[in-house]
Amino acid sequence: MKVYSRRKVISIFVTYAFLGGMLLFILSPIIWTLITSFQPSSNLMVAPPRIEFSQVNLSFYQQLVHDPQFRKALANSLIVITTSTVIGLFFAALGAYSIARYRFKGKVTILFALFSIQLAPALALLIPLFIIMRGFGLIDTYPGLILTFLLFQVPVSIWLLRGFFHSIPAELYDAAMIDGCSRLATFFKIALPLAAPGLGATAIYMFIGGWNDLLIPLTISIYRRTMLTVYASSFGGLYNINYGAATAVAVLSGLPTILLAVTFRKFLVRGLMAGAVKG
Amino acid sequence: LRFLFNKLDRIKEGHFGLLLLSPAMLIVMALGGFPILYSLYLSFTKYILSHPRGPEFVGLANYVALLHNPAFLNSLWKTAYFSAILIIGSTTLGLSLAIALNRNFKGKALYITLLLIPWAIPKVVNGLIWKWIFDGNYGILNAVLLKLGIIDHYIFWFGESPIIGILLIGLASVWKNVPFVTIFYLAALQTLPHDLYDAATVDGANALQQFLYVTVPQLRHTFVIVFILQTTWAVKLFDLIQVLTKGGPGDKTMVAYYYVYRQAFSYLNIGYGAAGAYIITLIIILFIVLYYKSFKMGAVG
Repeated sequence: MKVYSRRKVISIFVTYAFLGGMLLFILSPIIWTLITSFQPSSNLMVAPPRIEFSQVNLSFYQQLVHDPQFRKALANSLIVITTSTVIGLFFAALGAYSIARYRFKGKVTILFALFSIQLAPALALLIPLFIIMRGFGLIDTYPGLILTFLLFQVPVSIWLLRGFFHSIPAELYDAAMIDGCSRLATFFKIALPLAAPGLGATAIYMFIGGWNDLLIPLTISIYRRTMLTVYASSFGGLYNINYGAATAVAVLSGLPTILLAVTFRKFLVRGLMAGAVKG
Repeated sequence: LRFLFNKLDRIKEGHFGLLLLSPAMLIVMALGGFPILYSLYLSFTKYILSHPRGPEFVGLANYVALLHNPAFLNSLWKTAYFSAILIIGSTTLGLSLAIALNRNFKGKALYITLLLIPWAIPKVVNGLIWKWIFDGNYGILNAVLLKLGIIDHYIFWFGESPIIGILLIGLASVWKNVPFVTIFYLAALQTLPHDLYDAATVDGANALQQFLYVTVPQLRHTFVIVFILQTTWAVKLFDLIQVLTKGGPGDKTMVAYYYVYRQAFSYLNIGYGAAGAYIITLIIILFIVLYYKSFKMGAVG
């Protein structure tokens, strides 16, 4: 057995106590929300709330699942975010590949433009976009939402993917070209498969970022194309106290992105570091 | 199709590169570049959507009015206060946690996975979770503080004062941001060379001295990036306000970003809102430049 100095023992103790304390801080709000979402209303509308294991039930979830508004919001989020992620990923891959592989005039300007969109406050873009989309009849439509999500998703994704395409040695492309591959075929058959892990990580980022956004759907669609975050936010506000439903909707809206993040943890942690600039 | 492929192979390399970039650039230009210029124009107009008249040029009137509007100036102060809470809170906790995690122990992978949960959830969910905790009638925060004897009756926190209200919103926000900041610092710590610490140990530096004279200077670059990100996030505080308070009660938790949103989308005062959004953008740019400058100066000194 190793013998530690007293100071070392104290330092190890403090470190683990801190790790434990932080874990408690991070997890307890989630656990509290999860537990209370399975309790009947009568246990929540008392001070302090009561937790009875014998009364665990799914009533708030059943209400939600049968609420047509919730189903519509869920479907809208899935349709809009999946579409914008797929299209955006393709556009971003084309762009990132071009930036990583080719030289051309104005590249620095283009990179600067992409970077600016990332740091710009969304509201500064959404106010004029609202007026413009209103003119084209795109408010409260799928195309309007998808286009707006593309605007915010594509620049970040180009930044993320650029690194992945950079890390592929240029000789591989050159070899393919010599073997008679056309430029486009080189992109589809060589670059895309090699960058697959990067494409996967980027797609997950785009999906999580899009799924979690509130301001875009709140400004570009209000009535007919309500998305899940907008629906969930309607349980907020100072005086709303329907906490059973609020906790259940919190659990259901958070679940997809939590599952994605936990499943693809390794990808994400690596990408999180590479894509430091995500706003 | 083959014909098209051959044709594409004959154009200049640079042109082909631009061609590949064109879908992305089209989106950025049409939906980003053009609107931002259009909104510069709008910010110089009186344009209220609920009125039948179109935009009417008024010069700098919106900017002047905003900068003389106590409600807006107040909201800027609250944004500054919130930013300070978020940056100090998540940097302190995130950096400490990163240092604690920068070693091998059983369950480290699981720890980091659990840490990802607050990062992954929508901010709206973040808001709902903490709204339930902070509630004035049934919130667990009240119950715990009462049990500990810190308060003697349940408190409607957001009604107390902006200082307490924004502090609690800051707490919820720190909770969401600590994981990202931690992972970011952890990545930076892992790139630091070991021999620096060995040398410091040989020189007799204790843990605190090592932290101050080895870790902090080496992390300068990371600090700048994290501060820039945290500042832009803090200035863009919206979702939590929407879910927790909608800026109320009164204007107690009205921050600048939410104020501008309300002007544009609740009162449909587009010109005024556009000017407010421009002021906020300028503030963000100013801070980025400031951080960058101080980083450069630090590098020289």
